[in-house]
Amino acid sequence: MLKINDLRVEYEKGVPTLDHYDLTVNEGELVSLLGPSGCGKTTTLRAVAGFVDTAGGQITISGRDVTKIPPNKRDIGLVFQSYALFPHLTVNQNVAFGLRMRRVTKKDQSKRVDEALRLVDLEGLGERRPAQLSGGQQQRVALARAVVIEPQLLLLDEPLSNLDAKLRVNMRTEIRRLQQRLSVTTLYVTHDQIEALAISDRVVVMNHGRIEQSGTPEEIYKQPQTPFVADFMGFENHFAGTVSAVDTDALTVQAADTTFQASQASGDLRAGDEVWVYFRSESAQLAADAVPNSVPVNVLLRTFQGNAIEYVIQSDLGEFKVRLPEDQVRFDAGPAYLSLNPDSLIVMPK
Amino acid sequence: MRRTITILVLPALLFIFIFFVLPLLFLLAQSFQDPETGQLTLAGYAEFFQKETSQIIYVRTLRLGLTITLINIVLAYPASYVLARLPAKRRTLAMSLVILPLMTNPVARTYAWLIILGRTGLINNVLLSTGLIESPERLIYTEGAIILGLTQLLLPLMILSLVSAMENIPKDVEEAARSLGANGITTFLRVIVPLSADGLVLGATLVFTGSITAYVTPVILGGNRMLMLSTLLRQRAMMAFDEQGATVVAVVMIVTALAVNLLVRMLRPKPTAQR
Repeated sequence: MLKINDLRVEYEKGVPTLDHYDLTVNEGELVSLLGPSGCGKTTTLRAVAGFVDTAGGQITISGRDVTKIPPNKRDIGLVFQSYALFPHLTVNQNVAFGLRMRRVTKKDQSKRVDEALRLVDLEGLGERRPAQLSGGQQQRVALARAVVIEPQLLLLDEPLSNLDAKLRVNMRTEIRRLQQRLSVTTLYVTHDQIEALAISDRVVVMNHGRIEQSGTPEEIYKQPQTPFVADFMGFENHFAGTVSAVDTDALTVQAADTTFQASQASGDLRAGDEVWVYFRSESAQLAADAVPNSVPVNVLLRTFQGNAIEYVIQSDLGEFKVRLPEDQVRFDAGPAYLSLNPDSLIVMPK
Repeated sequence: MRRTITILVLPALLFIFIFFVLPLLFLLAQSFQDPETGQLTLAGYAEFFQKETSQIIYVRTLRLGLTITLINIVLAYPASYVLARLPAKRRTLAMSLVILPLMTNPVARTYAWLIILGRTGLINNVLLSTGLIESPERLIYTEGAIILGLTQLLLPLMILSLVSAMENIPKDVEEAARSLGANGITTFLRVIVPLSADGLVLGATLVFTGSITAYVTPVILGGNRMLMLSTLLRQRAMMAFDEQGATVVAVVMIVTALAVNLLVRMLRPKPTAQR
């Protein structure tokens, strides 16, 4: 449906923001571009929308090469972080704007505007001006305005960033429901990993203008393939090691004086490879005595965090954070053992 | 606090009252007074509006004001759009170039037009030497010359007003229109123009008022052949020593400017609350 091929974008001559960039979004799919600010996700979306000049490569929508086609002829619906409603027009006029441009008859216009407003739960507010609406309502108008033209492709650029936390979760669900109901192919840009995981069919993690990893939300969350994705997905702890043995479904990693078993591995690792081992703070355990897959540690600090207790611990492998359920045995400052389940370790080449 | 504010504002208010409001009131009173008997009379106004020459001058002043305003709008809109969308640093530089004409001496600036438009000026020389005309055309002391001079003088005001209005239009809004299928021109007409209406109203008022009250430019480029209200006023006061006639012209000029300002204010689109 949307195909980006070997795209290159330069804001400054010779300094590419995107380079050799490939991305495919399938019919009816919602793909989110996830990454920190400056990673090129918004640039990608703006290139698809036609607002940035490309320095190379090709963008096709439904098989039509749109690389050199102006934004108004691309047949896309675009939702901005700022909503970008027309302040001088009423809600009805805002939503009807794209239909007017397409020379839809007045009668059909009002029918489709009503329908779109019903879809986003804004019936009866058509005569208001954007300034008379709350942020959430404005965002709904922006959505209605983008989908009423039945675009081939819907682009959303951080649509929830200006809303407060509670509203954000509600709107997220609504956007997803709307997208599935209309089965419109959608590209969604966000810097919020939880949002991306919740809303997407597929998540594309970007960094420095390149794609780090692309996969289902579960794959991205559970099996990060690069240190960047692991960091971004909340793997708070890591240490360095060397692969000492490789079995069919298990991996042995030597780190400092300890040997760890790990059951997953990304990429093809061989004995002798230098690796990073990542684990989440909530997937580790503390023990009073040595157990398999454990390392002696020194508990430095314990903090109460409501439903969890967080420990800061020091070991030969470095300093780690461990979060244990609030109802478990508590550990005081002093020696203990950090026990790591083989399933919870992510090993990736250094 | 309130009292402090009153005290702080008072000196300026007094100054304006004594040196601006009072003289204007005297002027107004004088225009209704018979110069000989001192009695109240409408004779001055009757004469002004009945005499053909002053009718012609009044209509000409309004017509020129309107023409100059329209030309300014047409010239300034596209330029202002480009200026408003320049990156901040380059915009500052460009804007100082725009207001440069305002900082040159008006007499010097207007005399420069004589060098171009005069009998032996640049344009006539070029036309004569190419054989397009056989004898020099009269280019100064025409309405065209006044329009040229005043457009040049007032264009910066129009551009300043429009740019400051357009700077506040978010780029997103424009892009939203583009993504919904509007081409560049449609976006300009349906989004940029309505959202810069405040700047347009301000600029048009400044330019219109500026052109019907301008003095130096009509004196030098219009002369006695092409009088406007301001130059008629001088003629009445300084040459004909018709003080009452002069006050009548002055009052007509002030009232016209005020009336147009009020009219535009009433007609302007309701200010749309920005986000």
